[in-house]
Amino acid sequence: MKLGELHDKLILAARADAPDCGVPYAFEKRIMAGLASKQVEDLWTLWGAGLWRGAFASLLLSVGLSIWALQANGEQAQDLEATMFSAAEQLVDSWPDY
Amino acid sequence: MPQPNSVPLTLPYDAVSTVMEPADEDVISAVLRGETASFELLVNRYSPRLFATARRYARRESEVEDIVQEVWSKAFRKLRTFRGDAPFEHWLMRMAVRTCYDFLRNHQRSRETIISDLSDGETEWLDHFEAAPEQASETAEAARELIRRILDRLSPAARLVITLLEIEERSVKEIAALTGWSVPLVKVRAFRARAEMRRILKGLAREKYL
Repeated sequence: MKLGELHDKLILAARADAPDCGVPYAFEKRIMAGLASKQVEDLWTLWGAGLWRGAFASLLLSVGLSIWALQANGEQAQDLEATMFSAAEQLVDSWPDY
Repeated sequence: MPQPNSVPLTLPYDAVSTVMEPADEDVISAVLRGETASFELLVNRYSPRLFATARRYARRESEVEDIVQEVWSKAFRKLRTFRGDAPFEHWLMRMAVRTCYDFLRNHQRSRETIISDLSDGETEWLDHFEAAPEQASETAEAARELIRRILDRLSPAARLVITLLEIEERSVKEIAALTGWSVPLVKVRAFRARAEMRRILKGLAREKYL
């Protein structure tokens, strides 16, 4: 069998077999509905990703500060603690005495 | 008195807008401004082309729909990256070809089809070809079915290259642009694809006549 000729003949057969370009009924409506639901999904994904990023950054900050507080001398650690809790202390101080 | 079929000299704005379809660039700008509904115009305009492309690589209609849906989803997500230095259709077709290639890579199981299970029609066509190659009709359904089966047997890269280069008769440069492969890589893959196809044809001839 002449394989070269068979190859050419079959390629011609494939060329003659042009695919149909028909679009299923209301396909565009399905696409638009899918995109709309994905957009809502994306908003939640963005919000979730933002929260995770925030949590990760907070964790890093607290770990970094803990390490610093352990390594630093007592006075600096006390200063940091005072700075961090100053707002809370002011709040407590501002409570009226009954 | 105007004739019923005569075209008025001036059309109201709404009438003009319904007659003249907005250009792709205008539609894309509108979508990027937040008018998501305008995207439907692009879907209507290019879906026939996408369906024809997807049907070259997938047989089942549900798979074809999944491919086209995936292309539109990617196009919508990446619309901001469309720079407009080439027509939108080219940008979309690149995405379509790459999605079809991903589909072929994820559905390699279909390559397990046994080529020796030829139908009566296919065997008859091959006999006819063996006896008189020039008289065997390439428009015969058996020939079409046979080439479909052979394409199913090819590796994803080989199938993509054979389809684009030999069936759709595209240039190497065009294929490089569509697939994202370099020109030398397309040439290497085309060489390997032809060798792979020759091997399958040789196997077919051996199984049939030995």
